[in-house]
Amino acid sequence: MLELENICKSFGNKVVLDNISFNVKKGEIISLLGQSGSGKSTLLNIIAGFEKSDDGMMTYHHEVLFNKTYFCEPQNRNIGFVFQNYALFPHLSVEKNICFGISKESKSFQSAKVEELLELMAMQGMQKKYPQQLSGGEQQRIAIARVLARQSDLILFDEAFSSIDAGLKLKLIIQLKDILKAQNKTVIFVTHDPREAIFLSDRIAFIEEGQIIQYDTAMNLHNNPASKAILDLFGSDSFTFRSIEDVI
Amino acid sequence: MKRILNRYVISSTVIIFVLLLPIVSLFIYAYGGQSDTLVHLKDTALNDYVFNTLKLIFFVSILSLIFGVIAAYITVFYTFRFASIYAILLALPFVIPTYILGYIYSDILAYFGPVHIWLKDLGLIDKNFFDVLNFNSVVVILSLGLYPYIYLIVKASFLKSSSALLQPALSLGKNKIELFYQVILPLSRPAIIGSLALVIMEVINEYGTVSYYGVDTLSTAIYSTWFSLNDPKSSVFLSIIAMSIVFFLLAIEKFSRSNSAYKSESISKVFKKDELKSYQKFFAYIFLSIPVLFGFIVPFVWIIIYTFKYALEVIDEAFLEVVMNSFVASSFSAFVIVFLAFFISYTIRIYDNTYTKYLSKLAGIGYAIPGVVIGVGVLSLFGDIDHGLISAFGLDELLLSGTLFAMVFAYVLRFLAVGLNMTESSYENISININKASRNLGLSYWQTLVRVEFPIMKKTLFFAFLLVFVDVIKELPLTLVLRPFNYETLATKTYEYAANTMIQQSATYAFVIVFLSFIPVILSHSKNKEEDK
Repeated sequence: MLELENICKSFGNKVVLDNISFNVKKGEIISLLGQSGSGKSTLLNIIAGFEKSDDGMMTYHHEVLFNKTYFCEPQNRNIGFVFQNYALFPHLSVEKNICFGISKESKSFQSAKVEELLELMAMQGMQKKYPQQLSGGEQQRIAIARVLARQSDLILFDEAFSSIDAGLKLKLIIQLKDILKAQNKTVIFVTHDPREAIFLSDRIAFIEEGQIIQYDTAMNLHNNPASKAILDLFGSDSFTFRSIEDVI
Repeated sequence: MKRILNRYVISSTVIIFVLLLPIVSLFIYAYGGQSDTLVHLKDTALNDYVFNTLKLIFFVSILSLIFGVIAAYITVFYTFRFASIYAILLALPFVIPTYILGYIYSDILAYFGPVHIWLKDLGLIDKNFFDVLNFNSVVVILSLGLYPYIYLIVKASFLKSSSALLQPALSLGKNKIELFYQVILPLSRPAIIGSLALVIMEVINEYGTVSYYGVDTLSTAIYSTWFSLNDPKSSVFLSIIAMSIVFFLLAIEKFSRSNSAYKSESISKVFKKDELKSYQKFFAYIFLSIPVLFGFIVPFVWIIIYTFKYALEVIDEAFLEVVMNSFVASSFSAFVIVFLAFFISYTIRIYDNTYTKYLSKLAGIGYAIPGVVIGVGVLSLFGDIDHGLISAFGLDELLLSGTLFAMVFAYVLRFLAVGLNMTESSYENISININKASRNLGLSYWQTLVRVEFPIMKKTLFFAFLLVFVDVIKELPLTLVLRPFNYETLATKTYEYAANTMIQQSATYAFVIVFLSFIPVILSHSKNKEEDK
């Protein structure tokens, strides 16, 4: 469904992405996992069209979105993006935030969509509220609803759980995964927290210094780690697996 | 890599380049040799112009620093009765432009003025009356009118001194005086130097008071060489000297700030304000009352009394036409400035790179350049363009020179920085992800600007509009140089009446200027209150 080939990106002399290639299948949830500055957010911005790669190409549904000679603007890609702090429009109500990307549709379609999505997010009756009146978790759900309204097949999440309280995080992750799987959405999830990646994703791409070191299931990262950093995070003695066992 | 060249960056570059053309043209114009007047000036008065300007800068800086820094220190670190009222009153001399302050004191202290008559009645003076029209008076008047720049900026800096640094100093046994000299003052150095730079720019820009009090500075010389001696070349040469002084001072300011980027938080969390002792309180009241009394209360009362006395004589059709002229020119200029500032800061927001950052700095350069210099730059450039058009197309009249367009163009160049400051600082508080989210949901950059950024920014834009509007209303030297023939504004009419010793009549015009100048003060006060909540 989504294919990236030889993506390169530098800022000045610093190489941020070094010849990255990978693909995502329809309905699959993958995580880009790495430390701060590893290049994962830059890669997400390139997929969304907010950054341009120096080299490489990307196809989405077999259609080229960018290569050396062509660049499709972000507004024409229909790829959903959920930002770290959700980026809800502060001057618009919940209802208007959700309808922002479908404002060309009929009013009846829009209000039916709002009803449907608020029900899906268990936030019925919140139409008239403003973002600043919502909790962090509620804001996140409205940001997701806003993206789902556009019926994008592919949704990108940039550290979307980083400002959520740790106690609430796991519950929200499970709810989110259920919603996304039920809608058969393809998802790329950027995080620096291996536990989030394990809970959410079918496959994990581990990025280190601008390169994908390993792209596999969490179990295979655990069984056959390709680097010391992956071994430290996913190996049998790792804190990650021990803390997940505690949770389970 | 993000494209450097795109519609937004190209448009912003073109706008800024066109706006700066008058400044560039000054250098080109000055390159072509010297006139006889200039040679004469160099031999005679030029040194005096430069020396007087520097002397004025020096003494006004000292006095403004004394008023501004000490007033900020007392109001921030000590508590006393009426402290909150003083805190507001100390900022109010801002609403009275320095040239109006100058005319008022020339009237109050004139030979037939109330002070002389009173002193004579008391038998304190006889024939040896004092003459107020001199250099020292200009120093005092400019200091009274300009110290609020230092007071407001330094006060904000005192309030925001980092508690992370103050807390250890307190726990290490330092008393408040030591804390002030060893921690707070060094921390506030960038604010002090930055605010002082603003005062100095205003001193170089000053025309009304210095010309009225007979002090020859570069500003008066630039004006008189062009309009009295009819020698644009010398005027341009003097403009370049004035600009060089400004840029030299800006370089010093930049250098002194280079290592002083402190992240700060409120000081009120660290320690309580001290109560002043009785004799300290007495001196504090005396000290704080001087600038408040002479910088605001006396001139304000004078304006009110004279307006009540003479308003009926002054308010007629011509008066209303002048008010309308000022409103039209200022509203239109403010609208253009806010529109351009919004567009340029949006460009910088969406294409944030070294090039656009420099572009923004260039766009704001006009604020540092004296109004009379900008006026001369616009006159020279538009004059050349008009002559070119006349010889190329055989036009029988000037198309640009002496028009409202030339005046508005110059206002835009001079005050674009005010609009930019407002829009850029407001954008710092709005995440760029808001813009990205809108584009991700299908809107172009332009649609995002209209549907997302504008609604979020409209309060700021309105506030910026009012600030610029009042700045333009108050601007005198630039208006004097560039106004169309027979076109009067509130500022020029106030100046004209005062210059013709019809000071009472000028009061009604001054009243309108001062009344309008209250608007941004009230707005910023209510904005601060809102932020405190």
